[in-house]
Amino acid sequence: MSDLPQSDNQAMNRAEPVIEIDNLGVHFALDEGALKAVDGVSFAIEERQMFGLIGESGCGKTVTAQSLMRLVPKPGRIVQGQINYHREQGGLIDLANVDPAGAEIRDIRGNEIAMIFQEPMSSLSPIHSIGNQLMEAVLLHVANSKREAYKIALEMLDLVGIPNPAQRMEEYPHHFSGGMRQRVMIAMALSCRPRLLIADEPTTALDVTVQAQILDLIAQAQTQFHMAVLYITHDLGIIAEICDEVAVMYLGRIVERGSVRDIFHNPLHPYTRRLLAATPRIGQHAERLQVIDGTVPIPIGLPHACGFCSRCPEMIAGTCDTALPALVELEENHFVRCFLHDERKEEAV
Amino acid sequence: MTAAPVLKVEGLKKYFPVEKGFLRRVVGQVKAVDDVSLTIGAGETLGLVGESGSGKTTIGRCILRALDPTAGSIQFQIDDELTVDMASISKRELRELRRYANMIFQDPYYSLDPRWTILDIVGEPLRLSKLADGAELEDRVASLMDVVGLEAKHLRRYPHAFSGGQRQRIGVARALATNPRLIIADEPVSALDVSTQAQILNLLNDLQSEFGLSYLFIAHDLSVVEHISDRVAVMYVGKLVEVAPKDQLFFFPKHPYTEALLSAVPTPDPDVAKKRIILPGEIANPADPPSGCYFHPRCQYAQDRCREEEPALREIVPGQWASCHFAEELELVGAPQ
Repeated sequence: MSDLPQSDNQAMNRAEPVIEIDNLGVHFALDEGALKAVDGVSFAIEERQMFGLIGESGCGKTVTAQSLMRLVPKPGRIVQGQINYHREQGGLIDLANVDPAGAEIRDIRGNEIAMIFQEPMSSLSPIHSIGNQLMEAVLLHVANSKREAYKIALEMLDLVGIPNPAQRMEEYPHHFSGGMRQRVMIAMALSCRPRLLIADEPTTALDVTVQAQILDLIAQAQTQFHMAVLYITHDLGIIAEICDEVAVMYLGRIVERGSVRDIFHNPLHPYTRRLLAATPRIGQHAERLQVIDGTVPIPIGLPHACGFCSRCPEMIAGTCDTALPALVELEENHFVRCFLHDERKEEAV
Repeated sequence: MTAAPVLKVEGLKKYFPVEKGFLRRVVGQVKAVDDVSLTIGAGETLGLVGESGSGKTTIGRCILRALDPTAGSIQFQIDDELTVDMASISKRELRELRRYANMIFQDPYYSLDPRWTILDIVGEPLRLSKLADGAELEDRVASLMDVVGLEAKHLRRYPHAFSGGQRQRIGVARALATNPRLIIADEPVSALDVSTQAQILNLLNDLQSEFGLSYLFIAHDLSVVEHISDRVAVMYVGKLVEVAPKDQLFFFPKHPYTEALLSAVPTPDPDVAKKRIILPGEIANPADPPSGCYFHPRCQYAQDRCREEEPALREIVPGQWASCHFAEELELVGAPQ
């Protein structure tokens, strides 16, 4: 990926990057061997950008997000790469090389970088009131007194559209519906005014009308707080509606990256194309949906080759299964990792 | 659908009592399904959409008599001669008739017993209905595996050896085992990835044309429902608010709730400019529904009449039924075409 940083710099002349991920690798040491959950991922998120990360289960999108917070569960480990985070008050810190339990990351996690998850119930404590949980986060990072923390927590609940916030502060998570819990999680994430919000499938467990409310809320919060957002989802529709930039992941690698228009109107990687074709659209009137044959292989001991080649109908035998294509910038800010478009290889490390 | 429908549900109600205190006094009723009528023709797919808690699954379970309905009739046409009321038949009759209607469940990880082989799982309905046994059963299961696109040699494997999509195929094979007329598919693809989802949807389509199956397809994903259904019914708090052929419903909705649902579906095209209708508040509590039209507290078109008078489900244009006082006057926006 030697040709990457240069081209990235060009794209980033428009705005300052908040975080730059370079050649990130996360492996899980299992009995069967090293599971390469994330294998050489590079991208950057600019200030105020809505960056979408899309892929199916097991493609490594969640582990990528966990790495940014240094929350990768054991036996996972960051084995290579850098996560360069530009701090609020200036200065650069490589999050891949800090102690995951140390003071530095604790100062950033939940404060400058916040995260919301798919299932808000499992991220909230059932035995503490909503108010206490919110105030805990605020006290840790911004507020100096309980009184101030209470005021901020109340403001945040009001901001995310929870009616009667003073009364709701006293209640417990089980009193809240799924949509309301997700609002609480967003209130908690926003309470420290993060520069980067990581949203990991925050609406997957919600109904479509509630999803619309939450997407609206995230978009509003982004404008209001000038946040960058890393939005992780498997839903192409959400990406198309809210994101500026998109990276498509397959088997731990980014296979295509570009503006949302490029990805949807000019998809170049066979996986992106097939993913789009497999998605039912209202008014499409297709008798049959295009399918992607086969299943995703388990990323243990795979050859150094294109991860999609076992399912790709356009696979070039002897090429795609013997070498790994490099992620190449084919058009301005449109990167593709596929031998059909460019023959440059990425050497094994 | 001119022929007699395979399934004709009329006035179906399912109330769950709300109990309180040591003596379990009944203090109220949750009207999970409240006066629902619908029909499904031979070879037809009726999509049933609505938010969590709207009563979709309860309808499916009542039709199969996994739940006893509180009121209503469920006329199920077994063959040209015999039509039975599933709502009132005895348990003994039910055992004999179960084979004609089966269910596919949402989660392929929890709906298959991990200690049973595929042969046991797919063969069980055949054994229970005494349709096949021994070697015949094994042959039948092997051919079912072939029908759903799995290899027959994996008959003696356990569910954990299969991926999510393959497990859902096993669930489909099990539902098909007894040659049913009607299949209730309760969110059959919502736990699957896009590419696997497409495989299962295609499979369900193929099986329908091959065996003339009727589907009640319960789902919350409107794009999936639009793809697979012939007609679509929309539920809100235990009631049907709109039923129509799918193109009518998706492009010319007649109920404000349908309009809001459609506007909320994300479109996988960044250039489609769309106005999302953000519904205020939350779905009504079926134990304590609002007065008049259940949807009125969240409806942007609500007027005084909606607060007082409950609208009936009526035919607005031929084939399209909606329960809104102002269905004729409102100019509602459908999905982008």
